[in-house]
Amino acid sequence: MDHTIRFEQVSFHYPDSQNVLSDLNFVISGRTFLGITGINGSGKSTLTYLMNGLIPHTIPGALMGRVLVDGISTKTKDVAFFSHQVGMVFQNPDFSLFNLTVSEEIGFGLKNLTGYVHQKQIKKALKQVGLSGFELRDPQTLSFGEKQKVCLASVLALDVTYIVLDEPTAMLDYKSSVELYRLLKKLNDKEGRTIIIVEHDTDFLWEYAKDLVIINEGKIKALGKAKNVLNNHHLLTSLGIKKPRGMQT
Amino acid sequence: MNRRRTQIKLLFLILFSTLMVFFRNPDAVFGITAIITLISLLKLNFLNVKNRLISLFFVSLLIIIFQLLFGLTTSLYLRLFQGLTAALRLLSLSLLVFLFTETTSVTEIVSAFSFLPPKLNLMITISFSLIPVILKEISTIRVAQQSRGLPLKGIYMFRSIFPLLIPLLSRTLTRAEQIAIVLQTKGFKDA
Repeated sequence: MDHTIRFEQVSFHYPDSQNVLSDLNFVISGRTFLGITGINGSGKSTLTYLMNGLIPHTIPGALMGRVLVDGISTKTKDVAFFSHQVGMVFQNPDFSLFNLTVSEEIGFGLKNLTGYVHQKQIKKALKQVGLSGFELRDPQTLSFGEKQKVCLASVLALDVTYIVLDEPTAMLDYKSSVELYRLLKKLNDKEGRTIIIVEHDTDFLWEYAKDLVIINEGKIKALGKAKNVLNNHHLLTSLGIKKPRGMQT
Repeated sequence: MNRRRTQIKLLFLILFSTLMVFFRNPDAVFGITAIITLISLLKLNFLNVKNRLISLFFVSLLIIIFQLLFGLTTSLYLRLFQGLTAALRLLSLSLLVFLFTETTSVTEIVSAFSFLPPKLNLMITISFSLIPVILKEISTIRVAQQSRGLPLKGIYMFRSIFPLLIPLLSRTLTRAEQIAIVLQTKGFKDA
């Protein structure tokens, strides 16, 4: 089966506001490592909410056009349906973790979406993120990097095709950020998972992303191979985006 | 096993608290308060108990003064006695809850409610798991506001409540909204 997330003439605005996203037309291919960048308020997070049906099912607003996940429109099925294919990791893990043990945290989605929880799945997910033996730990006592890995493990346990991360390194130190990116690269290279990551730090995008989308004022300003897009000095400067250290001068 | 023990502790706490409210015999109230204080001192960290007793002392004093000034009985001695009994009742109840929370982990408390329907159980789990997070947040906001010159001691404490409350409410609402979204992405219906 051909895995893609397809945006067809997608526009969206929140109630009583102007368009946050305007006329988006692009395709995210399976197995890619896609970076999404842009200045604050450009519509990056809103774009991620479209990928698993949070918009239009949970977040209010007016959606025009359609988003197809593996050929199925997000308008036709609920968020739980798409959660089997698209896993979300949010910026602040403190706002995502609410169970009392790491094991319960990872099992929560499994129980809701599949109806059963196997300890084997939890152990496997924890091993994938390098947190073996953390099953009985209280998530609130972990470091920020570890908390973010628990969030990632809870998505991996669901065996999703697409992992969407909304600024996952915003609250992490450099070491934890590098660890997370290496982990994501491994999941992309070895397991063929599609990684879609919203990121401000263009150095990470330069090093790890295969494809890149730049959004500004709700419109796509650039789309293509990450290094090609990031080498466009004039574009980055005009949009207020940091030039990566690795770019050609 | 732990769950059963916590459920028994919880049941005991509810029964005992209810009884304490209805106890009329001052000797019994005094006796029970003495026993609970003794158990707390033996079981818990002395400094924690001392701090709790000091804060309760001021509240108790307020209750006694209030009873002396506004009590319905005419005899001063009787009003003092009633105030003392009410203060001891509050002291024992507060120490009892303190004893329970100090000797029972959050996980144990939550597991004691596992017999409830899943939705209700999740609500309790989320509420309990967020208590330490919100306490931490309060202290962060306090430090941030103090560093901006907000006085938080003495009479100024009441005036400073809004600069603490507003950011806390804002963050708590943001967190609640985010948790609702996370619950949806993890297949929890009616989030």
